[in-house]
Amino acid sequence: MTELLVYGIVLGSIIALGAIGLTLLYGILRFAHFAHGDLMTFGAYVVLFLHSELLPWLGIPELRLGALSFGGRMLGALVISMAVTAGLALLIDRLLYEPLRTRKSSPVILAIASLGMAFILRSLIYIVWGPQFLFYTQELRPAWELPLEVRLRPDQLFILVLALVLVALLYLFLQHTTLGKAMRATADNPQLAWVCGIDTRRVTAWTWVLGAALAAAAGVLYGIDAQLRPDMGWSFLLPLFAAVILGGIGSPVGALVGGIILGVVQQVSTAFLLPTYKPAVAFVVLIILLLVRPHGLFGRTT
Amino acid sequence: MTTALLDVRHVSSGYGEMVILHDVSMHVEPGEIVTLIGPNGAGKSTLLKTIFGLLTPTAGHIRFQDTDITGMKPPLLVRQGISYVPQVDNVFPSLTVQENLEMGAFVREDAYTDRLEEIFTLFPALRLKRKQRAGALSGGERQMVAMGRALMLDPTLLLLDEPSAGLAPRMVGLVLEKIIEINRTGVALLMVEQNARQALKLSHRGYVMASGQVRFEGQGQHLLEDEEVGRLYLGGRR
Repeated sequence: MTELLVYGIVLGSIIALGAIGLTLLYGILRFAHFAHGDLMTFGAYVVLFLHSELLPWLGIPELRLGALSFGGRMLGALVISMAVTAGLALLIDRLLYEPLRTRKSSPVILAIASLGMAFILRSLIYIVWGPQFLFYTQELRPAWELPLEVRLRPDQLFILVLALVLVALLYLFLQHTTLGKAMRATADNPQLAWVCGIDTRRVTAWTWVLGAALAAAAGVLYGIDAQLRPDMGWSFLLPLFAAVILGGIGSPVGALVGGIILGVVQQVSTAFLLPTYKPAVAFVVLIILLLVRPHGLFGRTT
Repeated sequence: MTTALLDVRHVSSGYGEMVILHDVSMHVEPGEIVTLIGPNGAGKSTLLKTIFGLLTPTAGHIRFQDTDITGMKPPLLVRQGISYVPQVDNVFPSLTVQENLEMGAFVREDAYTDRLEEIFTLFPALRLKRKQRAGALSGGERQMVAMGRALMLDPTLLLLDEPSAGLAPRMVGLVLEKIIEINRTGVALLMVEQNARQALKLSHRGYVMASGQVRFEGQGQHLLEDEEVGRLYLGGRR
């Protein structure tokens, strides 16, 4: 039971990374970004390419990192993938969403456009890498035996720590930098931000960069924890949205808490139910919580 | 007239196809308080929005300090020295008071801590509540935050859209007092105000607008004493 709780927190931290980006994008651009899960997949496969193909070909050695199943090459690949995914998101925004925004398209049009983009990204991954399950490494590392009968793989600890570090960095950015405050201001009141002279285009661009980079990290961490599949991000989409809604739409802290709750509930439910029911359990929790708190845990009532 | 701080010449403007302002000319001199009064729908707010680039004029020219600012957008205008306080939704509710003020200084490249101190001196109530979310403040306090935010850039001209709208009577007086204080620091103000009598009393000049046109122009006191203005626009005798 305690073990499932710990695994739930690990899964939840991955959901949270994706959900935070999704909630930031919603706050600033006011549309549901359905391609977010597929940005996760994209980020994960970029790391696969870098880690297994490009970096070895360039002769960059894999520096062992203690008990982890991967090494320094993976960390380098992760950073590059976050940047590449951010670049992809900026490119998509410039080509697809920005023209729609200039035409003052409704949020529904933008959401459906992003749904189309989700299919495109996923199909490209099918074409390049095929439908089979893939792994970053074949290495098996012994799990640590922790108190309370918890067996934790070193990789899982890494996932948890990295997710926490990224979330903490984002929090510091939003609270203490001028650009971070401008992002919150724009989410609050875009018209007033414009009146203040805030360059809302720059704010939008940074929102994409942060959201996509966090999504890429989430995809890579899931790849480390489980495996890579072209539909991995797509299957994450419902939990991501559930976490965003649970936490209160537009609230990064809410998305973090919502993600952890969903991860824990999904894992703990496997003690009583078949794992197939995991998504359903998440939604039962979501429905109950929304009946009690219609604006989510950290949502604004106005 | 070339010395005017703000010079609006024959401007027509509106929302899309709907023309609201027809051939409006008016001006603000350096250091002046100018009030726009007139019935609802007269185009007072539309004029402010057009000056601040939220609406684009379909005809005419607007000059500010000898620069043609016709059609210029807010991010450029704030750098020119014009700030604007909208009538509603004029604070960032989930940001703290201090963060709201910092957003006012967003385009400043230099350190703004001195200016922040000056704003807190002007609005002592805000200093005490600097860490509170602006959304939790009273209407009057929010208006102070909104004005403080607009003053962070040390503007030459401040545009205020109905600063006392929806405030308790006691707060109306306070906000108008603050307007005089702001003006004493050398800032010119152009405002739209529903409390026309009170506003005209503290204004150097005023314009009476109706149906998208300027009907009367004069010194604040003169407009107050003008029989026709009084009868038509100030609600009968004083």
